[in-house]
Amino acid sequence: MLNTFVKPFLVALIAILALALLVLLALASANTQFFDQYFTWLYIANIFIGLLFLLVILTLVVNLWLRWRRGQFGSKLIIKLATFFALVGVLPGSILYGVSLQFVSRSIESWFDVKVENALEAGLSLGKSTIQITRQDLLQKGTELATEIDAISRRSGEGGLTLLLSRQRQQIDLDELTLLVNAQKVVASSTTGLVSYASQMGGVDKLDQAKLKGSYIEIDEPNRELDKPSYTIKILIPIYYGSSSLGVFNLRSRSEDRFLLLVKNLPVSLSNNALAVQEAYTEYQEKALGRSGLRKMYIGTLTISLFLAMFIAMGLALYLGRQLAYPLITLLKGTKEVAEGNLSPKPEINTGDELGLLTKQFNLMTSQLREARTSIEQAKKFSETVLSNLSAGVCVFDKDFRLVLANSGADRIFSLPLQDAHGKKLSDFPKLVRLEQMVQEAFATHEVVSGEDDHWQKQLILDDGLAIDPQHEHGISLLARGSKLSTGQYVLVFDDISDVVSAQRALAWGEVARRLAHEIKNPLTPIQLSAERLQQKLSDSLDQVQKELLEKSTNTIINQVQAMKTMVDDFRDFAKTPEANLEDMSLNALIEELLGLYEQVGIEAQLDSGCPMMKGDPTQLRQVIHNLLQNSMDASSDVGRQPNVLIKTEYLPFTASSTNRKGVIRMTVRDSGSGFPAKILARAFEPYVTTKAKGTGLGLAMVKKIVDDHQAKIEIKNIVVEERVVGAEVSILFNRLV
Amino acid sequence: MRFAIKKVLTFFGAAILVLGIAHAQSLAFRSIELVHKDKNWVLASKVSLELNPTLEQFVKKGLTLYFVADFQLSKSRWYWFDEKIVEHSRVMKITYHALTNQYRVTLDGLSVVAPSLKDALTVVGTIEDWPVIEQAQVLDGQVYQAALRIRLDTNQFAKPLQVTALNSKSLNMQSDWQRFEFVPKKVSP
Repeated sequence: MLNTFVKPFLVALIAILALALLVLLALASANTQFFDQYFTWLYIANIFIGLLFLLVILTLVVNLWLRWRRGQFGSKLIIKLATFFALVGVLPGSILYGVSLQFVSRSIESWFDVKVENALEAGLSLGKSTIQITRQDLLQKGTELATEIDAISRRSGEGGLTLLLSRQRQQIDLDELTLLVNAQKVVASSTTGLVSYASQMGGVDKLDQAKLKGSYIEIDEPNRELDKPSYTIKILIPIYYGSSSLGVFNLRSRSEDRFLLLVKNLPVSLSNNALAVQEAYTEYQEKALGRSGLRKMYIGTLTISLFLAMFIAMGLALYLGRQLAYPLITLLKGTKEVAEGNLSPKPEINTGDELGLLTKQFNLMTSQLREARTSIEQAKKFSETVLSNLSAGVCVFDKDFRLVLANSGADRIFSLPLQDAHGKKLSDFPKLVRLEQMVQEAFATHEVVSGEDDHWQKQLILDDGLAIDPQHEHGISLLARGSKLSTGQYVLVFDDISDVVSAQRALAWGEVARRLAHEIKNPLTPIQLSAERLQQKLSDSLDQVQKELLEKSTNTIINQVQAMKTMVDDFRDFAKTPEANLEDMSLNALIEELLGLYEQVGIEAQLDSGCPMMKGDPTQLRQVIHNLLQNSMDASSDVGRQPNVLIKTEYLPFTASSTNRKGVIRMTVRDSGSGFPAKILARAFEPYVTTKAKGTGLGLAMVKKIVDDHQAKIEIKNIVVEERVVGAEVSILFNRLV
Repeated sequence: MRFAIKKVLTFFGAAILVLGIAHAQSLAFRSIELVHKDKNWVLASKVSLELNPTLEQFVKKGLTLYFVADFQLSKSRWYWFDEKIVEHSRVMKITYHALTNQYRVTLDGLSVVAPSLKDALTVVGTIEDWPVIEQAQVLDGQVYQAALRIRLDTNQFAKPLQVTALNSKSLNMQSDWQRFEFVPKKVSP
């Protein structure tokens, strides 16, 4: 967090500082007092800033490089973009820099020309020689004048000298002509101005020098401050009175020496020109001497400008690169996540441009994808649910009859974990070797035989029934339907129709029983009658022994025929149970009425007083209850226990709060017998299935038939406590309430 | 990264060191004295100055050389930095006039003409009657540290030359500080 704020701030600060310094440096080319004073510091500061730039740029580049090395996501893109931008910024800058550099180096050199220098020097010497000539001229004229004055003063004393000096001054065009002894003592003077140079030039040292060298010359430069526009040449020439002999000179006192002072102001125009030349020369020399410095200065300024430009370009490049790359990187990350299956909404970047739009669109796409996936998943889940809740088994095989898909129905039918057996063949399960053969045969046959029909249907029987489960004593009867998909896969749909077969069997059996009963019953009556007749007619004519034999035999015949009749009637009754005659009745009342018959054996009853009236045929239901109770008591007595039978009714509303009387009545009969053997349990309702030593096996079959007529449901099960069968329970659910 | 910074620092250190060594040639103090005069302490000093060929060429080509004499008087304090009592500078410039072939030394608006460079340098190197300390500024009998130096002021050069002078040995001329103890004595009026 700190980093994100401080870094740009620092960079901006440096940039602003650098910009300010650069502007100052550029301004410094103008000559101002301020910059003259601080120029050096400015220059050094700029160099320092330049180095700082270099450092910052290096840091940024190294930073980026490190990211790249670390393989940070998106760093390549940033590097690419940054390089582009940096190139765009730096390349033109560098070209400009190169050209400017050449230009500066060459043009500075070109300013300094031998010809110009020579011309300036010539001008300077011209001025020099002008002054020199004037001086020589003055000196010569002064010397002549001194000789003249010397001669005149010898002849006629110093009286008329002033006039001479005045005349001579005008003649030679001097500004002052003075004859003096020393600073204080002026003998004669002629001057144009008000000021005399006598006091300035009359110093002892100067006079001594003049005396020593024969002349003393002093040149004053023009001085604007003193309002002195021109060069002034001042010459002191000693005059030695009677200087013919050394002896005379030596004897003379200093006070008798005379000096002639000549002062001439050069013409102002000449002086100005000479000065101009000198100034130009000096300036030229200054510049010539400073040209390396100038070059350094310009190049330095240029270099720092380049640095700054490069820094800004690179800084912008890195910043813009990141800015530009950011949405793309976000997008890339998003795509990566989507590819990995994460369809959650990605953060959107609101840049207000197409890139931002891109991320938005991407999000839109993702959400659509997510919706599509969700709906597909739901559809898939739905179909899976349907498939798994299908009672029919469904198997899909690939070309080699390896299992691709199986539903729970298939599992249930075969009691095998087929759902998890993806890629296996059916023949990998020993139970199903035969099935696979049959199925493959069926498919092969279908392919050869069938024309337009896209599926085949066949009833298959897996005959090794006991191997599958005890329920299917006669094996599993499957109604299989196969079809080949356009993808080359095979779909096998099959249903366990053992129950249907069993029902069919029951139906067929009933029909047979009915006919057989009819056929059997017909001869029974004549047989019985004949036997009775035989007994009647022959009993008197036989002796006692034979008579007993006859009686015994005929009785046996009659009894057996009677028994057979009863049995046949039973069968017929079963096969031809009358239709249920439904009327409003109370189940509880019926049970109570029936229980009266069983009082002595003691049957426990738990009757729900809340049971509503229901539709039912009391006669048939009486038989049902009777059968069930009889079964229970038989079962209990089989195991030698005291019959312990419970009959129970209860009302089960569909919903607890339901006010309309909808629901079911459950009647349960429970005993503590040996329960149903496993084999019987599945086929208990089929006729002629019984565990009893005596019995037709029609009891439960009858019950089932009646229950079916009442559109009720019957369930039987063993009561198991701690894996031991302690009894059996039969429940009937009546749902046709009044 | 750290290595780079170290390198840069080393470079700067080296540069400063070079600047420090780059002078103290051709400048030698012969004498320095502080004399009481008219309620002031005036400085008198003789320095022998010699220009190197580069600077001599500069002068010959008409460039003005500015020599600055810096004087400092301080009193040491045990508890803090030294107390600066007096700081004075005076500027003397040498200009060559090619037209008249003479040198001019200017000090505070007064100029002296010298026929040769040597004479001009002698004038520059002779400090006389420079009132540096007022009598009231110092206490009798106390020990003060006085320091004097003479240097060529490169900041007065034209800018290009200043840039050249940045790293040029021959354009930098500076004496070390001449330090001496100064103990004002009671002066009878």
